[in-house]
Amino acid sequence: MLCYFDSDTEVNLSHIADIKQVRSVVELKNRLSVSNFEFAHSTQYTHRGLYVIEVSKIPELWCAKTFPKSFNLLLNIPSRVIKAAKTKKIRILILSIVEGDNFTSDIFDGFKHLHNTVCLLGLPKYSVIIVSGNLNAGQQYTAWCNHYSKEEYIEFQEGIEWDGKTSHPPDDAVKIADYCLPFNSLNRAHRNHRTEHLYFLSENKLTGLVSGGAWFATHPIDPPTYQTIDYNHYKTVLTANYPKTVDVEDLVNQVPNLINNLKIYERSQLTVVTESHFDQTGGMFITEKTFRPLLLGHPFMILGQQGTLKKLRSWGFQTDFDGIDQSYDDVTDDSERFIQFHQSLRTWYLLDAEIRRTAIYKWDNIIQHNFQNYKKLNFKKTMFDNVILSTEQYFKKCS
Amino acid sequence: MANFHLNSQPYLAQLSYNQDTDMILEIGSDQNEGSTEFFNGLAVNWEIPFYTVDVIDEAQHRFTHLDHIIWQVSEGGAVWTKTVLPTLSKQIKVLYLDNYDWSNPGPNADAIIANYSLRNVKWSNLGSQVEHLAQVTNCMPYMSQQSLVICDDTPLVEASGTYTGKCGAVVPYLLVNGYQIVYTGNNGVILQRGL
Repeated sequence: MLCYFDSDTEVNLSHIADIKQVRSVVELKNRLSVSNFEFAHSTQYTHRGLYVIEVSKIPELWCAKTFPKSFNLLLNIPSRVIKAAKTKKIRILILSIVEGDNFTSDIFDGFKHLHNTVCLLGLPKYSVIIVSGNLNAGQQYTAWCNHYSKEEYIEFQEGIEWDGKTSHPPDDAVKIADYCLPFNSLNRAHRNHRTEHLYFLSENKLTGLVSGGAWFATHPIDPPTYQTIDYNHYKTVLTANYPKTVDVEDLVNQVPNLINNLKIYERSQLTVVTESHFDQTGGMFITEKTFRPLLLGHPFMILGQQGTLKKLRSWGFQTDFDGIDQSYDDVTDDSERFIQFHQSLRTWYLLDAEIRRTAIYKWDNIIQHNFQNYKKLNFKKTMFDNVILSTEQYFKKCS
Repeated sequence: MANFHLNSQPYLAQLSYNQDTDMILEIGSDQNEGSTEFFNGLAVNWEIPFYTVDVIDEAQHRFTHLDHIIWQVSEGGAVWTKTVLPTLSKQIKVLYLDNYDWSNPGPNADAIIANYSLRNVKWSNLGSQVEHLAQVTNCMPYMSQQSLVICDDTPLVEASGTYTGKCGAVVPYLLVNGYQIVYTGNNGVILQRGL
């Protein structure tokens, strides 16, 4: 599949600073090279191909010009590209996998802006394909079109940026020590659900290998959303117990998402993943935080968006660890899911130490399966292969 | 940030156009609200010329990548519509009006007064209405029989049922020329005729 670039030195739409800074054209081509792409530096579209644009911001910043720092990506595409897309010589590929936020919120409707812009430009159906870090964007767009009685004009595909592959995963799964601490929970960046999680751990005296609260120095402690607690008490418990660090000491000069601190996993029986997104209802953003226990060979629970475990199962991972109630993953309501997750964690914590120790041995097959399955998966290649397949079908239908 | 122009999309979709004779005209180029790239997108789709007129060339420098736009820097929209527009031999299919500022008294008005004085223009709200009315009277002979006029910063005064703001004088003028109001809200008004 041919990818068109306007020049051999800059990415397409490099006049937009937010696009130029995502990565260089060389880096982008290296990424695309995992699949069967060829590259052309031309503004003449003599052969069918893709016009590739990568954006790293949340949808609110690139789907529409609604505030000074935002921009409408589609309206900034050169007219020759629009004309070529209208005549079905090329297809516009928007890579948007660095972030995985929902396209709609109470105050912004990215689907409406994208859909209207495609119509304003007169682009044919499915001449724009968006690979989104929000893995549910496609079904959300379909639901949006149904709700507003619109024809679907845009194809969405799922894409994973933060797959953990660049963190140098170990050759063998970690060996969990007998009678070690019941869990680890590494919380490096500010998110309100992480703050509430830290509160729950301290208030319920759940002792594990825990990092968190470093952000209290830079972010105010917001009132809790998922638990009914007096705010002053909440704040007192948090500031009395955190910040606490067991892994990355220097969050400025080290890159936390590339670090696998094996000792922590050897000294804890379960990884508690607090994903980047918890409350973006209906969305699905999976990052290296979820992949870390899989690539290290560790059991896990995930405090994330509804259906995260279900998504992992669709990729061949096993998520049922006997003794841990993972049914929280099915709960739509964020508060209920938060509570159910923590009830499950507490139940695990309160199990007899010997029962917990033997559980780890029982889980070994699952852990090894997940460890091997992770090695087999190549998310980036799958993503780009799907783009090629879809685009070949698009052009075939045009013929 | 105002992006009133987005409200026009359902009405733009109803228009038919002639690639040989029609044009889109924006008087008052983009000031970071997205109007110029929006109407450029429409013009690219329809493959008709898009003129955007302003007293300064600031937007032109920001949108160098949008090569379909025909930039026009003029002493004013009224001057341009009187002197240049007649030479184009085009019919205006879509007219977007958002130029000479309108403001309530206060710091914003003071800043506008200072800014306009740099161009030796004595700014006033009445001056804004006069300028917009002059632009539209100049445009009227070149308006397509079926066309859309989009007036930003022109709110309805509900108590009196009249319009104020930039195009407060333009709205009745358009009504007597066969236009009908199709949208009012979000600090603006849209009128169309021929549909």
